[in-house]
Amino acid sequence: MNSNHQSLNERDEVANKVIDLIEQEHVTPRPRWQFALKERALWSAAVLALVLAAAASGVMVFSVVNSGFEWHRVTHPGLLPFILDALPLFWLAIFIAALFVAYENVRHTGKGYRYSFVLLIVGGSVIALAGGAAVYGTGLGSEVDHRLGSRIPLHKPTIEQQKALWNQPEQGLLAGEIIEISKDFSLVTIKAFDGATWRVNGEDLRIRDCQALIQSKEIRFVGLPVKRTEANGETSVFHACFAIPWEVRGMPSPRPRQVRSDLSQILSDTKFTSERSTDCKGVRPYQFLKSLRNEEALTL
Amino acid sequence: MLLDAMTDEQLVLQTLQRKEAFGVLVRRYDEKLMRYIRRLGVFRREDAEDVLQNTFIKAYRNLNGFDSGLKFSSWIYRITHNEAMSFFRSRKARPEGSLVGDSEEMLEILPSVLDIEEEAGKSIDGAVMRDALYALDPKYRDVLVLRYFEEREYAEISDILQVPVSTVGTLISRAKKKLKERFNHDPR
Repeated sequence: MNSNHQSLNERDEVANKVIDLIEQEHVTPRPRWQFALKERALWSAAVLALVLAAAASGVMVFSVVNSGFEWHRVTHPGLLPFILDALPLFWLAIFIAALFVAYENVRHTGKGYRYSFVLLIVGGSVIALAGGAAVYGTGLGSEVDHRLGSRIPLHKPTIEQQKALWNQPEQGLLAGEIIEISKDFSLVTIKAFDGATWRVNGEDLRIRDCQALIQSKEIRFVGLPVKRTEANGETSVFHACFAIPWEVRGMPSPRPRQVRSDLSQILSDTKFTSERSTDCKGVRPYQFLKSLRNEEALTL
Repeated sequence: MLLDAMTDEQLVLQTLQRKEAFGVLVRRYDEKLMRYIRRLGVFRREDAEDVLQNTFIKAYRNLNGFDSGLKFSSWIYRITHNEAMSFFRSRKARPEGSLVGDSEEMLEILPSVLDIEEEAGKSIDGAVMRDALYALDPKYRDVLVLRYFEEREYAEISDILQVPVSTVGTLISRAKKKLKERFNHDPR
């Protein structure tokens, strides 16, 4: 007989030894529920991780949509600084980490090993991105960003980031809630997002700017840096060259636009000159802002 | 129905009611698994017996976790593989790979797998082949052992090593290439 082959007696011996050991050490099969529980826990963790990935991707969409790409030449010195600023790195990291957690959990389920890494990661990404679109579409992206993002150290929610970006009067950027508009549009009072009240000189505003003012509750100005004098109790003065509606996309319930009919009538009767003062021509992206708003095509 | 006439899967169900049925499974697999353990590189007979015994105890303990969608043989081979790997980890050892008597088996199987033919005046040394096999990275060696020595299908190897079937194909192809390189480097 080949030495590799055991005799029947030897084989019985192994079997008896195993059975004896099972009896001596009181080995019992682990109950079925433990396996079922483990399997469910793995799938539940994978689903939860995918939900987190979907939430993160919803916030990423919300961040990108509200990153202000169309105004990047106004707010940033170039495209690269804008991209670095606008990339939702925190949520991207959460998205990737959640995908890997989902992958690891599925991988450890009973038959999870049968799926390849690429299939699980691509499949997980598609599911999470589809969920993310739903999260963004229902306005949950802004909610998650606001509620969760504001509690995370060193992370600023998108809208807070945008408010800070547009609240740099020294850089010619100012944004806030409109409090009052004079009847000739020459003076606009706003409460900036940092809480300060500003008197904004609107003499250089043109028809598109005024339309924005009467249609919006919140506004942003591109203008000239001025000295701030809040220390003595006086409100500050800012010279506005352009007014742009403050819009947040992907909110749960967009605020209805309130057109001020009284000012609307005045606006239609007002004659505007085509050119702004020479002061405004010093605003860095002056031609860009004009072309972006198609001002040349307007009959002024 | 006699226990000996039952399928492996039926025996698993029987074992959950009376443990004697497990003895039949042990008798069915102990020889195959012992050979597999030694092919994985656990040379000393006592060590191999320990690994085998632990395999059966672990299988018994986890019988309720056996997925009937799998073949029992794949499941028990998986446990065996994991136990052998645990053995190497606990000993901080690599497979010993000097299993006496395997050289003939190597000569029987590997030349055709690697498409190596004896040239005139030059013979292929089974011991060199064996050494080349055991010098391979374990992930490559394991697939070759399962595919060509244990004659397992790709799907079974996938279930034993818990990797996708496509990965099994890739591993086998790379393993053959690496083994051939090693053998060509030192054909003696």
